Amino acid sequence: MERENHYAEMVSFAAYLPEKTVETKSFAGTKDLPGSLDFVRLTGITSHHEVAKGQGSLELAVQAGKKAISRAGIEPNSLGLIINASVSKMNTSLDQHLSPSLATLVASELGAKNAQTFDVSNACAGMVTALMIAESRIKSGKIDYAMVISGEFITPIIDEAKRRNLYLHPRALASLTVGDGSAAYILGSSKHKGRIKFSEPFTFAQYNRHCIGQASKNHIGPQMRTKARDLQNGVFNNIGTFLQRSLIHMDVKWDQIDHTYSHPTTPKAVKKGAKIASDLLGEINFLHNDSADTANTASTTHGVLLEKSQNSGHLNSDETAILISFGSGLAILAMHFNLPAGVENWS
Amino acid sequence: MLSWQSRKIKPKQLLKSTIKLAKQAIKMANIQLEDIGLIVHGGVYKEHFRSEPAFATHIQGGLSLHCTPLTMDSAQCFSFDVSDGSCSPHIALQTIADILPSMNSKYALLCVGDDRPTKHCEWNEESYCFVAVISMSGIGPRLISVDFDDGKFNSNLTVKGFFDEEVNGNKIVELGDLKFQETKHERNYFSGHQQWLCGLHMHKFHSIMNAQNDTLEHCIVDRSGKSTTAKWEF
Repeated sequence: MERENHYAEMVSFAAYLPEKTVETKSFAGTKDLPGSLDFVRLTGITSHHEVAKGQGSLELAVQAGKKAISRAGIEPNSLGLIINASVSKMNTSLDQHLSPSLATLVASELGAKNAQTFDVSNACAGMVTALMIAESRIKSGKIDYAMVISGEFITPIIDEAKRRNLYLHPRALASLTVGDGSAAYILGSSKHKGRIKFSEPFTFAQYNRHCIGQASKNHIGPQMRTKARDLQNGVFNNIGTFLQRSLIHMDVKWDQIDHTYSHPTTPKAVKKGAKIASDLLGEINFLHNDSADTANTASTTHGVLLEKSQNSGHLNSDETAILISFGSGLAILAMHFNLPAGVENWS
Repeated sequence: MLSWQSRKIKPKQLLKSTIKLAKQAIKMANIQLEDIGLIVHGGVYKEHFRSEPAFATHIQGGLSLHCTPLTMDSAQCFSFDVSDGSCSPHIALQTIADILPSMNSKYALLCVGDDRPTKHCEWNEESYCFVAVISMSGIGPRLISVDFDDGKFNSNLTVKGFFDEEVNGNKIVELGDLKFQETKHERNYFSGHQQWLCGLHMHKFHSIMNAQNDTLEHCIVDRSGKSTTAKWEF
């Protein structure tokens, strides 16, 4: 239930990328792949980041969480809700955290003693799904601040794919497109209506077996199997209508969106999707498709791209952005929001 | 809560049972399958520790619910999972209460349960599947609130999945030792055993719900010490 004159807004966001970078050609050169495939040319991904020793999903998430809290200028105790949306919940030994929620451990690390904590799983769409829940909770007036957070330690699926004979297991090829990273958003209460708007959320369950992530059956660590082309077509076949419906639902004009962020499976795929959108709706003001050196960091991709835009000085307080989110399943939803006050001054 | 169904399940039967119970619950609620616009699954253990996609998408697919290309006026369904140990059912209920009002559809499916992840996992727990149809209509038992208490959370009492090289497979390990809190049932209060899985908590609670005619508090205490309390009105 919405409390009268009580709305939500984005107070801060942050992302963290581990220092170590790995070049794509170092593990996916033309000699490594079937048909002398030029993987860099095919995907547009030149490199990705990988965790340091002692870092897992939790440690990555906490780094982004601390930065988001500092930028928001609030105390950790002000957070009434923390939702973790990590797809990977692995520690440095590749053990998978199961219970209770990883968000509980994040809250402990951040000193957020008053926050309710739980995890949301919706693949790469998990953070935007969690933002939708957090926004509802703030609008209900029950809490003042909520954090949505995720740490993705997913590069072990690269090792798993490399162990495979990719001639025999082409569905493991998409595993070579990932990178590690983390992101966090803080939403707060606002007196101004419409500073955050969500599209209708959709799950196209006819694609629910096109990307499966789980533990390897006979080896330590995770694996991912993807029908990449079919899944991509699932997005392309629906994205035009989705955007048309979303703009009507959110009462947002396409040409008035300052910054557009799509889930970057690969930079090349985003380019194709952007062409469908611009042919249908008109030119995109600023498409942030800068994932060539970060790769696909799963649920954290929008946060990573926002951080890069902020660091490059592209973002201003009086501007708006849209996050278009896709996740295995196939989940599609979007969030339009006003950029946080003071975003241009964050360090 | 318009209707609900639950049953004990065998390993690898969670999806099949959930779909079967969902169909029964929808029929009992006297609505059409197509009226469901939201599916939220609450649980901890999935086959092979599956991390994506959400288990709820498999339920939606198994029901063949709105599995069609998008048009400008086609109906929608959105599916995802939530998790917080044994407290997951209450988190799922709370999440449905949070977002269902803003969706076009006014009916949601709450699905709760756990599957034995691999044959190597010790699995002494009684595994139940629970499904309910939730609406904002006010008909049936009404959820008044869900409160949480993390005051007794012990970070040493976590559960993780790991690869055991001796058996060449994945197992579960429950870290730390504790004396489990027993079941407590008073006139307007019910708290299940601390060792129960999500589905059993909901199955037992709803088996006593039918006899209730005023209010009932349902407390779930997770192994880690975290707890949630759902207040129901009849």
